[in-house]
Amino acid sequence: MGDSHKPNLTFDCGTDRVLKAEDPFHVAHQELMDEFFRGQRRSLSLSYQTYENNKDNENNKDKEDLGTEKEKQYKFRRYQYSNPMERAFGIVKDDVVSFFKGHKKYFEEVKNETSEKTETKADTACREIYDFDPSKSDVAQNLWPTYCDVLVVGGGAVGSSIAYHLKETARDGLNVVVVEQDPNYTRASTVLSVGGIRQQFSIPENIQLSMYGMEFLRKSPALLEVEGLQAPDIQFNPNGYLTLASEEGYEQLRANYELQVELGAKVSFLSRKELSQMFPWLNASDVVAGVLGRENEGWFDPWSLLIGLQRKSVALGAHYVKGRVSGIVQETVDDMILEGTAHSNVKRLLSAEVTLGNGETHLINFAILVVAAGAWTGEVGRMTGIGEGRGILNTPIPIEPRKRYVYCVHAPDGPGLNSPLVVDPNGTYFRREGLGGLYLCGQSPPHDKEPSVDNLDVDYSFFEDNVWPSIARRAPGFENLKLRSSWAGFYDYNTFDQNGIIGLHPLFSNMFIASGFSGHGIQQAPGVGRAIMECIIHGRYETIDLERFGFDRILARDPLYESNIV
Amino acid sequence: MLKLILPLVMLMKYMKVCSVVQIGLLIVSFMVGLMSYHDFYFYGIGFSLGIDSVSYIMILLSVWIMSLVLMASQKVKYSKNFYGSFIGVNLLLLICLLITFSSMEYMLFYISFEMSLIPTLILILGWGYQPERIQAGIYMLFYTLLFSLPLLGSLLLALNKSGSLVILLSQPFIYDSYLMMIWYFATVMAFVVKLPMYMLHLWLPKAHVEAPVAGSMILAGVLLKLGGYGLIRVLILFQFMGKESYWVWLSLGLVGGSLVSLMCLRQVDMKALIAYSSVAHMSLVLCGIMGFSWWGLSGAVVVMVGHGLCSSGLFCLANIVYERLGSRSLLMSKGLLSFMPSMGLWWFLLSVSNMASPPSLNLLGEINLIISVVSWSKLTMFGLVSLSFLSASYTLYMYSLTQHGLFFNSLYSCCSGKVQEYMILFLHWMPLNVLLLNSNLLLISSLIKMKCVKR
Repeated sequence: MGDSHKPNLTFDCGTDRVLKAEDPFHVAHQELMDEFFRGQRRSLSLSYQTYENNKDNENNKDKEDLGTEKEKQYKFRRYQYSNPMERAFGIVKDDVVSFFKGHKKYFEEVKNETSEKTETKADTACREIYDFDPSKSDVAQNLWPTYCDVLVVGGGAVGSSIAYHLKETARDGLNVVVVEQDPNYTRASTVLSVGGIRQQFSIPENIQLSMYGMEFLRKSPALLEVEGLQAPDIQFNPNGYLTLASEEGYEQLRANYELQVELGAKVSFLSRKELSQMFPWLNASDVVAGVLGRENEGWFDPWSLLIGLQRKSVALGAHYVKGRVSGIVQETVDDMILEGTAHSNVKRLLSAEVTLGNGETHLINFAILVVAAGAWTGEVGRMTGIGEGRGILNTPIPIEPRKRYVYCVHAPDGPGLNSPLVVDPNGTYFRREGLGGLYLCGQSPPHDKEPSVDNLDVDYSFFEDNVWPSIARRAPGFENLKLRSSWAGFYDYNTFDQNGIIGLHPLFSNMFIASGFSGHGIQQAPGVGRAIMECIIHGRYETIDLERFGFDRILARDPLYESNIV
Repeated sequence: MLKLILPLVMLMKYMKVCSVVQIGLLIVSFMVGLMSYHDFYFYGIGFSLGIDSVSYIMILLSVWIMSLVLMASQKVKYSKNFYGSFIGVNLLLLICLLITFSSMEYMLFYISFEMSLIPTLILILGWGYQPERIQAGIYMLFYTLLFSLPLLGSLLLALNKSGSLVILLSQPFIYDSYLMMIWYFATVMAFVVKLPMYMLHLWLPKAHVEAPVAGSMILAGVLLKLGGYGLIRVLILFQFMGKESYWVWLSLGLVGGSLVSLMCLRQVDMKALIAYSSVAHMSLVLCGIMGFSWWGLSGAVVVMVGHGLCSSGLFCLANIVYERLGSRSLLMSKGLLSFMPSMGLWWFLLSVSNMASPPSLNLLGEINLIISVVSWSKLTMFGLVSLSFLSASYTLYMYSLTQHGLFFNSLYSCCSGKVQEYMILFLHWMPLNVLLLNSNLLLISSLIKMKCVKR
């Protein structure tokens, strides 16, 4: 037992403390016994190890050595009383104490209710939904979900939709916890999106997902109704999408149109003459044809959808936790050998370390992890080791944030009420916003000129140089406009093929990825939620087969491109 | 008894070395097994400690289950979660149980009956899954304590009336008034809550779900039998009142058992399902014991042993699944036949024993119990039909739901079972199906009759 033999790492299942050695003889004896038995069971043992992310995250740097500082951070009860004997009596004592304290607190709270300032929508959502609050000192009611069945990382539209579908099917059968780092959603893609929904894709699964999305939106007042609260008003505008194609893109447009009609989408193919007839404000001189969605296409308010999904999930029993996942504890499943080497690369995720706003870190043990973190999915993947290992682990999750600008303009001579969301062949889009002559517009910047993602500042020169000329050319009424406001949001951009990655990761036995929709995520959120629910509860996709969207296509370098209309 | 208690106390010195304790416990259970060759009319082993055939069966069961408990709790050792104290608490619980089962005096029995609650509480709160939810411990503690305080009062009254609380020396009370009914219910309630009977059973699912595997196994395996054993010991005093009030227990047992079996079909948590099935089994045991017949008594003892082994084995299986999947939810642990094929054997063997199919001890016990209950009144057939049918249905439901179907991650199968897990499950199953061949060791009536004939 020399110095080179360190005892096995600290993050073992259950607790995260190493039993402090009392005397060297005991330690030696213990280690001898452990070695003896471990050696005997080598082929079938489970070895516990932590993924150490020394490069990125400082928090994880000294996990090996749990000094007293780290212990102090774990303020919660399980760590406060780490000795089970102490804990048994400590918990009973705490409960009795808080029983008496709880009554006092109730009377204090009644007094304070009269002086409440007006809350913003975000604050209300935050207060109503996020139930674990470390500032609350009422220990008995402040229950940290230490064990859960499904942990969803990311509480945006996709995460909330997954939580909703899971709880809707499973009710009390599954304990679902959603971890969201930013309950005010200042940077999430969901609320910063333009909120369009269309069926005009070229991949059948995308079309089907959007069709289910529309069906869900239609039924949402009934499905998302919570007793005592008003059902969310999605504010769906059924004006449709108008995809225009120039000479080069005509064939692709036609092919897409046929596929969409075959799958049941209600779209019409319009020639140049019909376009000019239907939309007199449109300059169709360089456009050969266009496809207009007659039904089930348009735009809606993504914030309402998000709140509706959240409220309903919480009403059904999901827990939302305000925190950031800062590490994931995993273990190697020794008995699965996939890659022809003597070591198994297959891992099982055990628990996630969540850092709260005040710096405390807690662990949540889960059975299944669903990563729906939007633009930060790649970062979460790196916490588990995807992208920083050998073999299959060398391929990272190719999702990263990409900044896109949305400009809100006021154009009194603009298209007016009769305007769908027009998508120009060069990628510019604009749509009506409200009834007062406001329009939203934007454009994807060219590949070499991607803006930096450090902040959400808007670049006005992009509007003046690229967007304005484009929309002015398409609809001459836009020549006279005034830029009212603008914002920037992140796409959860899949650098590989700009389509979602949905499904299990081949090397992790219990990790699902549901992200990377690159701009069309909000319309596919209900569909993806349902698909993940089917995977978890039924074991396979039952309604829409999303096998092609799995992570395997990244490993096989087999992209699934959405053919762009030029 | 010293030959059993002394080794146990000495084992506590080796708390930190789990292999010594495991082997030691198995040796102790072997030694207990050796005692079976004794003449069991009365085996005095110390001051107010004595073993009779029922006691002996229970002692053997508790030592056996405890050694299996320690084998099944290896995860506590790997996660270094104070394994020494864990073994210590378990051994303390075993000592309490041994004293309870072998006490020849009601007061000592009562004290050790209550004493066994404390190590159980420490097990549940200290090593349980979600210790923040203390409802489980509080429910268990307060249900039992609330109803056992009247038991203390009634035992003191019995001491006052008859001068001695030694079990062999106590005469049945032949007073006949309504006040006696209060005395009777005060005494019996404590055990009926522990058993548990239908209306007082709420603590059991909560305690089982929150307890670690050791706690669940020992709860289902032995602690429920404390109630049955206590009833057997105490009912002798209240024979006359018992005859009048049998219909209460019978209806509560049969109807309650059927209702609880129906609730089993609605569970989403594996351990809760097995916990409710324990309630259903024990309700039939209650009907058998309260009936004052040889058939009922022997059937009750056989079902207690069989259920102890079977439920404890099922909890062990549920824990095996939990260790691999991280979730106890039935919605997620489906398709286990594709995930852990070899474990399917044990699921099957223990499930069919749970639904009392041949050749298991449960079948023998249930046949005896059915005979005893039907001999009291033919109308009970309706209750028995629903109880047996629903018992088969929820066991089938559990087996089919967990084993058949699609596993959510069809990419993998898993280590289908370590040898240690197989050994634990084998040791659970073997007495169930093999002891049937020599079941005269368990059938009280035949034991007594054997001894009478021998004399």
